Amino acid sequence: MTDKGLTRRGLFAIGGAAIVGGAGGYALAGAHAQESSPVVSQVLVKASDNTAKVKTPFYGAHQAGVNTPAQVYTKFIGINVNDPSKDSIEAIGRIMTDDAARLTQGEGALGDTEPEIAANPARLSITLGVGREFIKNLGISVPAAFPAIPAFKTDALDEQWGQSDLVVQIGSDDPLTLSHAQRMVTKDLSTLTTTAWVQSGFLSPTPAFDGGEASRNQMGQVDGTVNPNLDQYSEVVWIEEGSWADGGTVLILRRIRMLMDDWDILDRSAKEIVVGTSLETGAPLTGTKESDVADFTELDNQGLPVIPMNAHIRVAHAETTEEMILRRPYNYNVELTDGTNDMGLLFAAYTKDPAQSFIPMQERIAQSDAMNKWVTTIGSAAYLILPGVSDGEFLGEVLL
Amino acid sequence: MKKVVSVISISAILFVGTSGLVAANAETAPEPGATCAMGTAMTGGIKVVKKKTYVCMPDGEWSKALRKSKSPLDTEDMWVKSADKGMTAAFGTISNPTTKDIRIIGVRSNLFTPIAQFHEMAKDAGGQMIMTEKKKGLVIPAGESIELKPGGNHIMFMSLKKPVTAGTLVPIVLIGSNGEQLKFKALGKVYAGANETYEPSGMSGM
Repeated sequence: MTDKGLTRRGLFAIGGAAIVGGAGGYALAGAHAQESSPVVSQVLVKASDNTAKVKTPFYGAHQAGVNTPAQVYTKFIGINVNDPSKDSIEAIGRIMTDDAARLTQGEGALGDTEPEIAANPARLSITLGVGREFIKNLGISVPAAFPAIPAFKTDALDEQWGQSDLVVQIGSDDPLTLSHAQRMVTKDLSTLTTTAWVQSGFLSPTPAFDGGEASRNQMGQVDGTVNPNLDQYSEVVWIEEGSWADGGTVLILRRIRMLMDDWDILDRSAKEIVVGTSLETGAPLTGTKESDVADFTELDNQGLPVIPMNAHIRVAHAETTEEMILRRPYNYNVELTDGTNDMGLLFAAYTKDPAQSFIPMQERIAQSDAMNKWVTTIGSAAYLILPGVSDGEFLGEVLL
Repeated sequence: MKKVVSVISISAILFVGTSGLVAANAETAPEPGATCAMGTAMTGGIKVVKKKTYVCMPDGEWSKALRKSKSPLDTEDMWVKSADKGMTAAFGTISNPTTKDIRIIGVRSNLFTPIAQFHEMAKDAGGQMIMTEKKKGLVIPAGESIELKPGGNHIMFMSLKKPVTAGTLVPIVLIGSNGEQLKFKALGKVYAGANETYEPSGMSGM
């Protein structure tokens, strides 16, 4: 597995790109580090000949899809369980585990009617999470790491994108592979569950600039932030509290609409001041390179902060490791029937302790982030991403 | 790597369920070779008398007394089409790592009532799919594997006693002609196909 991982990164170095940089709860994401990598980066890879066969390991202490470098395409599928019970969880877990173990390794699922499509996994990952109310209703103790996520005062939540019993997160660099995996999983679960929503996301497969590591979001911003590096995953992401949830993490999935027509009205310098970074380079306004650390104390010649007090990257900034989250955001773009587009971000945050990290950050953002005028959170849901499994176990076994 | 034998292009190996478990009400050992009523009355199956197993074999006769032993066969990727009632089928790969052919003559599972005939489906001269009785059971050749798949060979279960639901593991036992018992679990999966074996022509007399 390690060998494959190294090979994979070797490939990425040739064809890849990565998100880094940025900040915030609204997006500007990135992720430094993956398993067994000394450095950095949610590396994005185009599913070329080189990468089509690349497999993301399925078995392990943690589920794939969290510290997996962000694939180019993703689907978050919110599903409700028809008959919430431990029997249902076992059946769902067995099916999901069997499907994911095969599909991610380039094999058709059992009873796969189109196994040829599965032959190019292109870093496919399939990840299962459970909602808080669902856990409670099963009579299972809710992990301390998984508090209720409140609504924030700037939210304009649409129940269409609201909380579901479970989430299945699927990612691949190949959209056909992703489509097949989605079809296979939802077909296999069709007698047990009902799909509440599907949220589709995408990233640019190419870097924002030559030699850079970040990609851009639909507002043109170099999208990424100071994500945890490899050494920090256990401090930031993986739950370790002596409960059944150990090895898992909490996913907070926010659907953030970008008000593009309003954003268009701003000139470039105003856009940069709102976020606190350069549009061109992604660097903080106090620096020159994307990788520069923001200096929130620097003043301009009028004595005002170069990065304004309400700039997004300042408001979203984590002061301590405990305050950090892993950001793994995707773009979404939905064509509406009137010919316009609903564009925005699927902001996926992963944390071992939302009470210390995500919730206070989001409260600061709701309180004062200048960006709030141009983005609106319209969907919010949170899930406990279940601990990983080894061969012979199934996802959700810890709940039984 | 074992060679996968493709037996007959489209064939079904049928283990026909019956309406009652014979073992429960049979205290006397059947005479080997005596006729068992599987084919018509669906009352046959398996008898266990004084720790010896008697299988109503595909040819409609009781087997000799079989001493239970562990089968050397291997299974892989076993799954069952989920179904609420009636019939369903199991698929996967059965391998024989030994140097002797192994013949499977019966099957046992708590999901359906036991057993009996092995059938295969094949085209007749007119191109119609017909079922013929497979008198010898299912032979797994020495050193080879047989793949059971929709549209091809499969183990067919009739008269389900309870639903096969998606995601459940169905325990199944295949019984060899020398009493070898191959135990495995097959995962229930939603599958829309594999219907060609469910209403095959010629089944009405079963």
